[in-house]
Amino acid sequence: MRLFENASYNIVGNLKIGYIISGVLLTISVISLLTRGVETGIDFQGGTEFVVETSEPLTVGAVRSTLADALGTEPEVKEYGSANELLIRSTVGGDVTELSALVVGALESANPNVTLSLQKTDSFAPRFADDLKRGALYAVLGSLFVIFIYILARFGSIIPTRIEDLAFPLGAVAALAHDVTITLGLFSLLQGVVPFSLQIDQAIIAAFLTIVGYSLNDTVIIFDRIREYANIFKTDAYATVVNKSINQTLSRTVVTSLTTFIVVAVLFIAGGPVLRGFAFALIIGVVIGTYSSVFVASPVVVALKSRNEQ
Amino acid sequence: MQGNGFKIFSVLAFILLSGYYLFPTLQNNLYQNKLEELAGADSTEYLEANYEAIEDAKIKALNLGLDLQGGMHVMLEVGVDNLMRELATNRDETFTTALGAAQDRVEAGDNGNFVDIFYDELQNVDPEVRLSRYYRNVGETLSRRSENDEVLPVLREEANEAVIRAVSIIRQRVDRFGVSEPSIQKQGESRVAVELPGVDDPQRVRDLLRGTARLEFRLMADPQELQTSLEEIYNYYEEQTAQANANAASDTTQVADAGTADADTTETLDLGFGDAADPADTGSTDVAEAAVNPLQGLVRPGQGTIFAQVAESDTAMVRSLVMAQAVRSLLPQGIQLMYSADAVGETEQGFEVFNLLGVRSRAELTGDVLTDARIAFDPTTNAPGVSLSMNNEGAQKWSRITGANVGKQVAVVLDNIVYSDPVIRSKISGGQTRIDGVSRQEAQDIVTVLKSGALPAPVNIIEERTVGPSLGAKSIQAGTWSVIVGFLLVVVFMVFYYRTAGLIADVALLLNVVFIFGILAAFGATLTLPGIAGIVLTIGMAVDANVIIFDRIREEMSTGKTLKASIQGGYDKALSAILDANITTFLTGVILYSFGVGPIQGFAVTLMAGIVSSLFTAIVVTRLFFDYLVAEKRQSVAFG
Repeated sequence: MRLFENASYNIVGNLKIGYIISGVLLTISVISLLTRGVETGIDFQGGTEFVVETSEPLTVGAVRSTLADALGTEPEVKEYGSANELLIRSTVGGDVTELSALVVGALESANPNVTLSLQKTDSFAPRFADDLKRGALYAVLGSLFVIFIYILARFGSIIPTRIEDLAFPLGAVAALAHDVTITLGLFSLLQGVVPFSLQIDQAIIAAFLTIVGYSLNDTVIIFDRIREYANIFKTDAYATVVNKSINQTLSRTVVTSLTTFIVVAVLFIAGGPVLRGFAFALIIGVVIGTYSSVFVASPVVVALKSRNEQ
Repeated sequence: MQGNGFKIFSVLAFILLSGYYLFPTLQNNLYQNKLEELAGADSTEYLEANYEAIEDAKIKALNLGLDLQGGMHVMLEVGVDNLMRELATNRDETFTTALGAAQDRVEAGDNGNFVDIFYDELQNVDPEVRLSRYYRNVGETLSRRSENDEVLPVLREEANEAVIRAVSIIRQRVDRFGVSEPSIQKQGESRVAVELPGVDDPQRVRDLLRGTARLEFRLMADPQELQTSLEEIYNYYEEQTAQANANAASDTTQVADAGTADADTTETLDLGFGDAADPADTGSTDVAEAAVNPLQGLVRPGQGTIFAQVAESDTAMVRSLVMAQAVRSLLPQGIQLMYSADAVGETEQGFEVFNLLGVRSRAELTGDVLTDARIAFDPTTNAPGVSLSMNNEGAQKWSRITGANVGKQVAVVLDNIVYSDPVIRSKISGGQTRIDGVSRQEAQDIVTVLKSGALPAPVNIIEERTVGPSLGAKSIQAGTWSVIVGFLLVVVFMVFYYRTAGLIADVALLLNVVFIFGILAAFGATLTLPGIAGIVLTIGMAVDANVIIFDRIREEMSTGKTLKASIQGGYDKALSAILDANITTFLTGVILYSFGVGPIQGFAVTLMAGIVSSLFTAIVVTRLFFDYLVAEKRQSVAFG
């Protein structure tokens, strides 16, 4: 079977479509991030999270008000995978022992004929959470920096003298920033709309970095082809070379995206509630990452490389 | 196949190595299944007969993370700030201000060495500060005349020692706790990570890890004085409440459920502690409810040396009420309040109730005089307790204290909790005494804590993750299904798209999964749920290299080259793209591993292992197949 073989779409000539799509998505993302913001997990803000299994389903609202009375502030309560499991998240600090006794005690006294068992407890002191937040930020910035340097060394020259030398690394990093911003924006927009948690925690940061790695994978394959064709078709305009390269690698881009999409979709469906947000980030990342390799990274290269063709 | 000898050898070697490292994991699974099949007595017998082999397999098997097998992960931080406070011989205004400022700086995220931060703050308060003023008694070498640059290294060394000692003490305690394969690691300047697989009693672990094992014998408050001060405190809050109600009444615009109108103590009432609301109260909601004394319903007044009785759900509340600056001064001089270790009853909601006792702030005798601690049962009641033996100095002091206070109570305090407060009936000489009123397990834990020594500085739990075994089992199931389903879908797709070549890529993919597990087992890495996610993702991305190569081969063939030349050209031309793409992803993995903690590291490890093994399988293994089929057998291979 063959897909997109001998494709010859005029992609570089139709970049407007890409600008519109990216522009709209970025605008929505930035607006959502500024107005709604993102919810951070307890590992980034400190607090305690319990997963409680109940012998009979309890209504989330009732549990929330019971615990609000007991804890003094309203905790977040959600179903966790099934109706018999609840996720309770509270930013109340203090001793975990006291807190868990308080939560279980309050729920048991409110629902005398339901037996409860604590499935999972996570607790983070606020100061440790700050450390984790810093670590995550460094990880994201650090990876962008390292990638920039690596691409610069492989596709430009290690000591850039002209702006053209920066074309590939700038294109790659622009695509990555685009992907992370839009994924983050969608997380901000859909939090509370979809029936699973989209809080930004350590696992999601790992997912973001994976998206960075994946998107880069696609981008580098196209860049590699551009580098090769730029040497073969020296007389062509740079835009034509880039367009050829994108078309030539299109079938591979689509096939790999498809297999990766299949596995992350499986992970999303079958991976259990713990991995749902994580898998969701990867699904968005695979789609956006594939798109941005073609419509964000390559145009930047064209723009910077064809400056002195006139 | 000439020239491929080394490649064939290395592929076979990797397969054998993976098999070797994964064999114990298989064995372990077989043993565990066998043990489950066999019923009670048979199972024990089988376990005894093969104990060595079973344990050996368990130790060498692929480690499952706590999120998969259930257990507890605790991150402890040794309180160097408290150590600085305790080492100081005198603490003046300058000292406390600087310590507070240093603590604030750490709160704000300064991760430097606390000793240096503290010194820096001391100099901010008083540029002429002399450390020897506070620390002349630390270590052997310091005196009143020591210069700051002599004192600083000693303090740094002390802080470092404290952490190292804490790690070894925690190790001892954990070892006696009786968990299989606990892991204890020092992290950074002053942190210790403890992992306890299969633990389902987090409460006990917390107490055991945090206990500083500070044993003290203290005299108790004078009952008369204590009860008077209780009344005074109660009256103080009465006045406050009356005042607040008067304010509320005059402020007619106040809405019933307004938030913190003025942050006084009455606000704490909205927290719903204490008695259930009186049905009569639920009349009108448009008038601000009259506030009641916050202590009412939180405490039952005590008697004698018992200040009050408090339910465990209210302890935090009571602490904030009794610790308020205005109230502290109402307590008798030199007296502080401590909870009893034992519950004295239960509330209607099932919360345990504890005594809040008045004890003297000064300890008469401390645990450093102990020579031994043992579990001992009371000969008459057979109740468990801890029997303590003291050295000569302790014995003399103890006999003097008990002799001078016959008829009064003495509190046996461990880490600021009163374990027992017996009345001294007669002078106790000989340096033997007991801690009573504990369960057998508590007695065991107290002995463990006392015997492994006192922690040099208090430790705080700054992160804790507990996963129950059933949730772990569910995660394993979900993870396994994801791997299998993802794998099968990709396999089917590859055959559908690339025909024979796809089948070859699938063989490489299967080897790839085996190698990933092999690498994990060989490096003693731990498989976590995010790690499994990493493997699933790798399966999806691993075929990428083959897709690139096969597409290149198709391109080459379309230019009219022979199959053999096309395969040659395809592999050669695809290599640079594959390497570039994978090295960048690998770098991301390295960064994730170095900045991440816990779950993220697990994910990063599988990602990196996946990249290494998929590069090997996609480039070397598939190439061998094609060489064999095309060059040796002169067969044609369909590339779809």
